[in-house]
Amino acid sequence: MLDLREQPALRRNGLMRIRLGLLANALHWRAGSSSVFCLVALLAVAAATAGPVYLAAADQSVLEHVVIPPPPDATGLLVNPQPGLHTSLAQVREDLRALPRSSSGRPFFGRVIFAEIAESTILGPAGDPLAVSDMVSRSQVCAHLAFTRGQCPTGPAEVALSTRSASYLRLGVGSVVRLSVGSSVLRFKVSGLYRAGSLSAPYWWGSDYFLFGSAQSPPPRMDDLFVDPSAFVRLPPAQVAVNADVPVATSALLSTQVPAFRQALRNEEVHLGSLDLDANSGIGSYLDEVTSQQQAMTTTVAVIDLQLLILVLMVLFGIAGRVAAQRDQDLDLANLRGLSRRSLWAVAMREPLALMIVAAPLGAFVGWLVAFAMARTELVARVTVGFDSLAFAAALAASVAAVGATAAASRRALQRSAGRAATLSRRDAALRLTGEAFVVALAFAALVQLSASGVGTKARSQPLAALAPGLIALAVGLVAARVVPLLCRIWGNMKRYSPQIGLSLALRRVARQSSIIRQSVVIAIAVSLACFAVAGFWIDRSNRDLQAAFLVGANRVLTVSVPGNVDFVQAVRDADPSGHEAMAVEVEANQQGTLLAVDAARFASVAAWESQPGAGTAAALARYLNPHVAPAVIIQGDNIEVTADLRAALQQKPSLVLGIYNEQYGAASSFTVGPLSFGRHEYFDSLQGDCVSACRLTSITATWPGPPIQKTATRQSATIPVEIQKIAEDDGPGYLPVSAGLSHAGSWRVTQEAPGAPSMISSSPSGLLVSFDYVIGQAPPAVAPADVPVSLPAVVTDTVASLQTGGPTGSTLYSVLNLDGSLLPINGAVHVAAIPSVGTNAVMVDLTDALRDETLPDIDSTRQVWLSAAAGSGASIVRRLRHDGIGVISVSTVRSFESAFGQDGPTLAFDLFLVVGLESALLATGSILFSVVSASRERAVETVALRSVGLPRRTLVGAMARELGIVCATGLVAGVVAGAAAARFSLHSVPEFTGLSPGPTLDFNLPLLWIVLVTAAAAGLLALAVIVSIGLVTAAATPDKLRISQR
Amino acid sequence: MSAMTGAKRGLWPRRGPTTPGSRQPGRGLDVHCNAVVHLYASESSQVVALRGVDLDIDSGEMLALLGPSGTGKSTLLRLLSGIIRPTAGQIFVGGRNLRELSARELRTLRATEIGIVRQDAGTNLLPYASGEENVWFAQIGARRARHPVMDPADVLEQLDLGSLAAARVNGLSGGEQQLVALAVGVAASPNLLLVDEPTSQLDTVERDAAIALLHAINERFGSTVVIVTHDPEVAAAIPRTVTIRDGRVGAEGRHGEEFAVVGRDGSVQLPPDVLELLPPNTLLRIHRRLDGVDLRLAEPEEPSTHPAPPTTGMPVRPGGKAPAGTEAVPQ
Repeated sequence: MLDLREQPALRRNGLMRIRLGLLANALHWRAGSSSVFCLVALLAVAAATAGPVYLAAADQSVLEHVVIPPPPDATGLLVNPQPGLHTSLAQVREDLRALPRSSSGRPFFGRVIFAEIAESTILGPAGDPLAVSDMVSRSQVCAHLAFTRGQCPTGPAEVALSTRSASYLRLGVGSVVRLSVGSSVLRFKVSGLYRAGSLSAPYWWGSDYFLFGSAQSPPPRMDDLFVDPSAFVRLPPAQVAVNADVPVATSALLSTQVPAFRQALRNEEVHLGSLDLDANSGIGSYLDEVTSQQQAMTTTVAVIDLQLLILVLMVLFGIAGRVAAQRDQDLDLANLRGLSRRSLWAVAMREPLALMIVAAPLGAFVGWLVAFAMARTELVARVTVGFDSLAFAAALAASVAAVGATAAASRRALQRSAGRAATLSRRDAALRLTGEAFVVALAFAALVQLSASGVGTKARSQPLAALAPGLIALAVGLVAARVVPLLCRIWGNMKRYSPQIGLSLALRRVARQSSIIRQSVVIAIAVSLACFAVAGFWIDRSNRDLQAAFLVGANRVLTVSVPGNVDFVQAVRDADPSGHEAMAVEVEANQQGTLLAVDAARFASVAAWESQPGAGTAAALARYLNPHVAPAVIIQGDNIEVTADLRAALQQKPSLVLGIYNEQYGAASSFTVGPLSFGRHEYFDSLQGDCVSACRLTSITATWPGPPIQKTATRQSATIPVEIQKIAEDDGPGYLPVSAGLSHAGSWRVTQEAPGAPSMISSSPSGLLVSFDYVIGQAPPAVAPADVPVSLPAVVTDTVASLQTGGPTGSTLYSVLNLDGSLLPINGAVHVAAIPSVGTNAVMVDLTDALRDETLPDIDSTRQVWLSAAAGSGASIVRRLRHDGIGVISVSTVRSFESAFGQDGPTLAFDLFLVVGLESALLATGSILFSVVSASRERAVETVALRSVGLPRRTLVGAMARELGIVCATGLVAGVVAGAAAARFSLHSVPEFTGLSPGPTLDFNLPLLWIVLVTAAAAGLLALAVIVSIGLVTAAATPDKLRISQR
Repeated sequence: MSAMTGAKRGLWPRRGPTTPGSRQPGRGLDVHCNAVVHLYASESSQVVALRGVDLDIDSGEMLALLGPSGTGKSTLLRLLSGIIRPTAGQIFVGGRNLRELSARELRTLRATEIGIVRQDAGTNLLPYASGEENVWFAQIGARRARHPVMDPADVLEQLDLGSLAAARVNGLSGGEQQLVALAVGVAASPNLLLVDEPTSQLDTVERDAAIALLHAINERFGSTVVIVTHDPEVAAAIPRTVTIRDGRVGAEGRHGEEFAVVGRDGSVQLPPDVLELLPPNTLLRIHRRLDGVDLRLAEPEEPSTHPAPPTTGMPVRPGGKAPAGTEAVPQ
């Protein structure tokens, strides 16, 4: 007798071979379902991984997008000795020797630029001041100056001049320059001539070293004089200003290093403070912005990813359940052979686990690939896409969740193997109902909570608002999956005796098999996510365009430098004779806000203006800003002649004072005409060279010496009736009359009068008759050309209006600071939330009027040329502007702003939704296909059986099509409704939209066309899945199926 | 193992109540069923499958359970394997009362001591696996329980099935699948092999091969083998047969001769042809004789509340010998 137990133990290698062989055979046997399971598991891991990988890359992208574009001076550390202290350059250099570095040893800061500056005067041969300039030594300056002749200074007595300074000073290489610095006079030899550089070059840190011709008064200012550092040894320390520009290595900064960098920066500032150095940096605000965007982005990505992951796990659960059913025989055998519970689980899970071992790394790789592809299209080009610990953890968590879902699905199979399925199915049904009710309640509660936090009612940033499509779809889908079978049951009862057997069969199956209609929940969620993603994308895109155009102001905005002798407005008008392509703009930011002065005549054609509440169209606004006024009275020449007829004989003779304003230099001056004698006389005066270029007559004021002393007690006022018959200018060939509108009283107005003593204006063909009512001790009466509205019509923002009209009067008439810093009376009758290009704390007026109202020299307002889309790149306009000496400093375009918006964190996060939407739709389609195909064997048997009792094939195909149609239609309708409702409900609160600055009203209308297209695409995909499924089942429905089944 | 093997070993006849003994080392498990009753409960009713089965099987014995369909043969086999528990009565396998074993202990028993081969070979096998892999799969439980097992290939070799070791099951013929299924049944070297209809879908050649294999298993491995069959050819090849009728042990056959069996409660189930002569409620007189027992119809004059026994067609002579099959077998 042979005892098996006496045989040698199984060899280990043989055991492994058999075990692996069995597993491989099992996977091969169920290749179709194994592949689908593997694919969905892969998608689950990819869905979980793509988010963190993309997030890490997007974090870096946001960081680079925010901190790299600003010039170094905006982000770098500017180090100066504390006020009142003099520190040598050597000391500063020593103090900055050990700048902090990152933990990985990478430097946080770039190469420090040290500078020494001394104000100097360039002396003539006789020691007279020829010009002023700064004597500058700056690290590495020689590499940043383009020398046209000679070379960079190398010794203590050498200096480099700009070509234009040299030309003005009539100096060349080798010439000697004498500089006066404080009490010292230094001699330098010109070593080279450089061409003035571009201020936009980062090296110059935004400081203007090339100020040639910028002096408001003589002596003129030259570009800076660059010397070797050794030159400053010859100067007393008190005369030398020292600073150090420490650039932050923003391009090397990693998002993970930001906290460490902040700490290092704080430490360095404290450290330098202890060394009597002030260290200031603006990078903190940029990093705050980065952090804010990253936080919003993190939550949004997590929310989006979570929804996809839940959907994938739901699909995986369903698929795993069907795949597990295919392992029923294995489990039954395992139970028969007395395998322990643990071994039963091993049998149930060995294939899913093996597939997960394959799917997890592949999924992680696919997730990385998706993130990589997105990064290439969405993120800044420099960003590298890595795989950090968070992505690894997400992949692991998704794998564990997938295994969990599979285990939950396999539980049923284990119960079946133990013969307990019948008992448990009733309990499971109750549990399922309870679970679904709980999920619906949870979704409803979450929506209520979102609503309570402001989502759906006001534009408040709430990243969790992006959960809405998933929540609504889940709730609607679950409810639909319960309601539709009931409706089908009722409908089926109505059709019980109908000849439409196909419909009746379909209705019965949907009504009786809950697993069929549950497919619609997956479809609902997928379609909802897709609809929400597409709606959000298009709404965001259109609003981004709107916002970009509004922030830039026009399609293209050129910031220009205008020479002092150029009439900027006229130059722009000349450059664009059509009047539809270019507009002159001046922007002046002051402590009250920002004044935007536009050439209102061109505003409607050029500016990007979307109507806002409180303001009409651009054309209406332009008309409002530019009311009809009299032409300005322009005087140009050496002398002036005024023909005046004094109509009253006054014992004390009055005079007229003509106020004029030099447009070119922004200088005001006055000339006295008189004393006036009774009757008509011609009066002359020299303009003293003030009006070689055009001057504008701003006022005519009457002055009167007062009554004779003996009459003082009786007469303290006088009426001075003067008819001004002609104003003429002498510009060389003789006196020529000036067009002053003297025969139109409407072209003039009284600008100043004493209380109770009104001055009167009337006109006649011979001239302008003004009755000045002069009161001693009061401001002298004055009239002026009515070339400027009394109060400039202005568009003011709500912020400005609330500040200005906050007083008791609530008047719209008040003053703001003009471009020259003087007070500009305005009528802020039109209120808007924001003004194009300048934002929420601003006033917009007509540029020509604002300039006419100037009384002080112009301060450094920013001059811009706005170009409309019709101007294209504006090359021809720029060419003409350059011809007039107007240089372009920088260019802003709507497209660049749109692109910049696209790099904002919340936008980058929302872009992930598009990928999720697409993936969801494919997943739902695959799920439907798999569910039908996996059940095709049973369906085929059923089909053959029904055909064998006489039902035509067409009827059976129709029944299957109707059944799947009900499922797909339920999911599709529920998904579209949920997606559209979610978009309507929550898009206002998604950070991407709330982050936009105030401006034109954002458009949240649903893009119906795109929703219809998405629905159609989803319907097409599902229809394809249905057709393929029916085809497979029909092909499998061969008569031998029935024989096998019978056996 | 030939039909004589069991007789030589003195495994039968055995009669009367037996004391459940422990398993003899190196031999098959003995099985004892005492008044086993099993009901299948459905939502609306209960179906009695077994009505009180008394059965003793010695270790190493080879036995066939016969009977028409629906008489409870397969149920008895499932009860013996511990897959289901009896509604009433006791089953001892190798001295262990299956009712008292936990589910885990029952699983261990199936994994190490009891091999089962179900009707339809395909239901015993993983269709995608080879013969060797199927054997290995059936050994998992035994191996976990540290029960020594043979190399799967060796199991097949021992049963002259080495040629089927590498072949995938779904590519084998029905007969080959049945042979592999039998090999799988003994994969964990069980001491009790339960086989349900091993020849139901086989042609005569395959059937003979299957029967030969069962004998080989019984002979080479020393396992107790219980076979459910309704094939007379198979029954003829098995030394001991037990016929289940109406959920009870109806008769027992030895070497082709049919015997009635006295149950532990003293009841005897008459063969069908005798039952025609002695319908239910017939009154009998029992007379002991030196060489057996006489059953005689009671006198008609004796008062009885029961209906009168049939007077025609009765082959029982007053004071005569009972028909064959009612005679007790000498101890």
